[in-house]
Amino acid sequence: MIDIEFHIYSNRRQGLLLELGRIVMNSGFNLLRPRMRPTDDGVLLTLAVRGPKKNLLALQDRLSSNPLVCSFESNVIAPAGPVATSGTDLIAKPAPANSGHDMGDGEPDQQRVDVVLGQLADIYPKIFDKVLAFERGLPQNVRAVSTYYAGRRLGAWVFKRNYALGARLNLSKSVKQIALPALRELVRSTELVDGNLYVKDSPLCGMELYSGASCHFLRGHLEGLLGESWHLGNLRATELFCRNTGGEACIFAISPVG
Amino acid sequence: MQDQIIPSTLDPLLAGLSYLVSVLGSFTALQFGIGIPSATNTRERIVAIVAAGAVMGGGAIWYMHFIAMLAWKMDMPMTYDLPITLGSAVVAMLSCMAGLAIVGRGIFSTAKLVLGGALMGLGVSGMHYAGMSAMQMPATIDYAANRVILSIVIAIMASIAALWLAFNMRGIWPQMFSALIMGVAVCGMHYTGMSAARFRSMDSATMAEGVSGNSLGIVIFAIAVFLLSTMLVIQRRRQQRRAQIEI
Repeated sequence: MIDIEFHIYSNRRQGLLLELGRIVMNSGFNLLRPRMRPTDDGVLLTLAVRGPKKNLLALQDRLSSNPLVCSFESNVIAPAGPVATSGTDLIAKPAPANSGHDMGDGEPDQQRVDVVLGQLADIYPKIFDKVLAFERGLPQNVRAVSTYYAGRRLGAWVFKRNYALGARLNLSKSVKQIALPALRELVRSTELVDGNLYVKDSPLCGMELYSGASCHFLRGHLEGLLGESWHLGNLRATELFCRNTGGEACIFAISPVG
Repeated sequence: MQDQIIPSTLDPLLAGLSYLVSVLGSFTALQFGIGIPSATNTRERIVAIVAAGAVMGGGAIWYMHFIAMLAWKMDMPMTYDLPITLGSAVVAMLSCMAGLAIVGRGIFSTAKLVLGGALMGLGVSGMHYAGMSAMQMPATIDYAANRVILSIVIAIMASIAALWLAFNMRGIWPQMFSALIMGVAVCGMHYTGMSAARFRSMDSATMAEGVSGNSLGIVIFAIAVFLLSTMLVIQRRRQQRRAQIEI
């Protein structure tokens, strides 16, 4: 496994991240942290990715042949290991194989999750004060994974209660008809843009609990919501941008696993 | 008197009631219908399809048709041939079952939506024109072909819209809106179809024995009570199930 940072120049901003994020994931890499900033001619997208070294050439080929990409360069940051060595803000701790997010090295604290879920069910959808208190009260090594797990179970519960009846929808329609209204119940400003969910004012950001992306609860919530609809198979919610790392909004992409 | 067109008037109260009944029947049927995709076995699926189709075909369409016929006042005696009248209900129920089964099976797609909506729209139209042919009266009926076609198009298009809302979207509001649209499909088709009909009097006509429209009052009341209570039972059961879901 290696960590690579791509600097990609494009003259089109719209849909760029979604398109390239899919290429990265379809090449067997996990998207660690994307950043985008405007340039004179368009945008510079910096993608930090982690994946198998043997797939790197294929990924570079796909990026270079993509019409949205004007040019790009790539740098190997470091072999994936337990400690960040590059001096960059790249997340370099080992993440669970399928998440692409820094989740710590512990298992979810089942007991605390069970307790908080009982409370969240009573106050849903006004849950964020309780979620934040729960998150703050967790030890650092299990904080992200426990919060993600609680979000996932709450999402599955919400799906069964409110969204189970109706046609089986494909992934893009499920995101529009299930994930979007469900997320709007929690955060009203949520929008759907190019198939990605934009949360402009996630209450989970800016709490100084994480140095990287912080919306583990919402990511889990999305996976629980859509994953409960079994016909879609295994899904992954990736937080492409997070306000906690300077993004204008928290942006979530949903993609099938495998 | 012979071959004269018989004038007709519309009772607005009964016409409004016919729309309310079709909306109530559609809402109840769709409550069963949206359970088709989440059925966990064949038996559950068949029960949901039969219940949804029977309530839609029997309640929202067939039953509405007879209230609407009472609303359409004409100065002549009229009865209904019983076998054809019952057959028209079977047409409506079977076509609704087929349409709902198609839309509710597998991954939702535009092709399924169009096919299911077309079947339901044709069921609404088929029931109506079969029901019209069951009329026994001292008159003949001519139809204006363009309005007949328009009535069928209205039924199909509105059925497609109603199914899209009910199956594609989630929550109680889209379902209610869907029932309102389905009411438009049924009533729009019916009254457009009625406007296509010209009733011409026949002096020598003999009246066969049949079911009188005037005897429908008690049936109307019974079916309304059935639809309402069915809907309330479904809602109550779903609320109980929701409350029992463990987090």
